[in-house]
Amino acid sequence: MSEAGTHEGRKRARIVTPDAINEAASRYEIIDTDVHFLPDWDVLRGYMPEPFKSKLTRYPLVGADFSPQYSTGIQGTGQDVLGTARTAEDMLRTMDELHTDMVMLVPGFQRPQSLYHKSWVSVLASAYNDYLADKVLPVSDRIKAEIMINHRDPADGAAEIERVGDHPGFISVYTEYGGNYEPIGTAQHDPIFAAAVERDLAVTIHAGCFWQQMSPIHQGTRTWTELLGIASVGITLASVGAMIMQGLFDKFPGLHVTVKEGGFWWLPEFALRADDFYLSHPGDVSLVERKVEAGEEFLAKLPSEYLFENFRFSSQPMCLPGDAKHFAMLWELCRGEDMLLYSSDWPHATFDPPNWVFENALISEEARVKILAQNARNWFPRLG
Amino acid sequence: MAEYAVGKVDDVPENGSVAVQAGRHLVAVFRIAGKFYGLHAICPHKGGLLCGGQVLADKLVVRCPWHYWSWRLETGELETDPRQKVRRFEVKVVDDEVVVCT
Repeated sequence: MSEAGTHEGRKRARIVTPDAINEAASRYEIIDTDVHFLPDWDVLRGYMPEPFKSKLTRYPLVGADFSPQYSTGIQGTGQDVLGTARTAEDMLRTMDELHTDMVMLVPGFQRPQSLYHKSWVSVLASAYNDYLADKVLPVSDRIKAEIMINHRDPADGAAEIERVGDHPGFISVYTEYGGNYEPIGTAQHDPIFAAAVERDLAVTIHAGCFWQQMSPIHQGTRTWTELLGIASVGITLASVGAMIMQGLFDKFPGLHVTVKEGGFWWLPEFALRADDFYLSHPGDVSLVERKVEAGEEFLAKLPSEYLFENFRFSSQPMCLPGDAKHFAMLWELCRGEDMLLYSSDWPHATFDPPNWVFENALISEEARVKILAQNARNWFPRLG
Repeated sequence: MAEYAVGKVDDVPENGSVAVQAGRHLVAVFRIAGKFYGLHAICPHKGGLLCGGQVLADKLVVRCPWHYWSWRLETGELETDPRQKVRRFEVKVVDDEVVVCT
C-alpha cells in the first residue's frame, strides 16, 4: 500500500516486517567471534567410544539448579533463547538472517567443563571436535571453529590439539575459566599453549564454570547479574593476571589469547594497577615456575604491554554509557578500535547484534571495518 | 499531528501486534483485550523489535525479544526503571479502522 491520502484525509500507513539488524550490516564483512553451537546430543554420542556412548544418554546438567530462567522468565538454561544451531545448515541459515559472513563456533556445551570426571570431559571434547571436522567444517568456509579440550588435564588437552589441530577449519583452542580450578595461565597448562602456538592457533578463555557451589568468587550470589554479570569479570581479571604475571608471554611471545564474555571496560584499571604493583613489588616474579625454569628475574615488559599486545576481547555484551562523551573516553582508554573483536553470543540471552557499531557516530568508518572483521583477520593467524 | 490509517481492526491480531510504517515513524501497534496501544517499535536498549516481543496482557507490558526489557503499553515506561521511556503513540479506532496518531 502507498501512503496516498484516504478519503477522510488520513494518510495510509503500511504494515511492515522490519529487520532488527541494522541495514548497514549487509554492507560490511562481519566475522562473529562468539557463536554457540550445540550439536544434537545423540549425534555426538555416535562419536564417543564405549562405555560413554551407552552411559551418557543426555546432555549433562552440571552445577546447581540455577539458571537465567529466574531472571528472564524464560525456561531452561538460557543457552537456546534465540534458537539452536545443531548442524552446519542451521548455522548458515542463522548467519544469513544476521548478515554475518563468518562465524567462529564456540562449544554450546559449557557446563560439562565443570565436571570432575576428566575422562568424561575429554570424551565429549573429542566427540564434538570429530563431529565438526566430519559434518560441519567441510560444508562451508564461512564456518570456523575452536577446538574443545579438557584443559583441566593439560596433557590430554595438548594431545587433543595435536590430534585435530591440523584441520584448517579450526582457528583457535577453547577453554573456560572459573570454578574451583586454578587460572589457566599457570605453568602446568604450558603443554596446551605449546601445542597451540606450534600450530598457529590462538587460545580462547571464555567465562564459565560459575555455578555457586563450584566457584569461590560466585559463592553467595543470588542473582544472575551478580553471577554472570559481575563475579565473572572478577574471574576474568584473575585469569588475565595469572597469564601475564606468571610469565606466559615471555615463554610464548607469539601466543594470542582471546577473552570472551569477560568484559573490557576494566582494561585501564588493570593496566595502571598491574604496572604500578609490578614496578613496586617485582621480587616474587622470579619465583614463579616459568621464571625459575628460565632463570629470569623480571618480566620482559610491563604488564600493560602484554595486556594490549597478547590479548583481544570479544565485544559482547557491549554495555554503552548513556553519555557519548563517556563512551569516547572509555573507547580511547581501552583502545577499543584495536582491542575488540565483534561477537554476538548468539543464541544466548545476552545476544548482541552489530547495531551498536553502526549507530555510534564516535566509531569511525575505519574502526567499524576493524571491529567487525579486520581485527579478527589480523588476530587469528589462520584467518589471515 | 498526523493520522495514519493502518487497516481494519482484525488486521491486528488479538493479544498480538504489527509493525507500522507511519511516515517516518516505525510504530508497534498492539491489540490487547480489544484495546489498541502504540509504542516506538525499536527497543532503545539494543534495537530489538518490540512488535516481535512477548505481550503480557495482565500487566499490559511488552517484553523485547532480545533482552526482555519490559515496556508498559499505556505509558511507554520501562517496568524496572520508569524514568526510561520509549515513545508512545495514540492509537484509536474510527469506523473499524485502526488509526495511529503521530
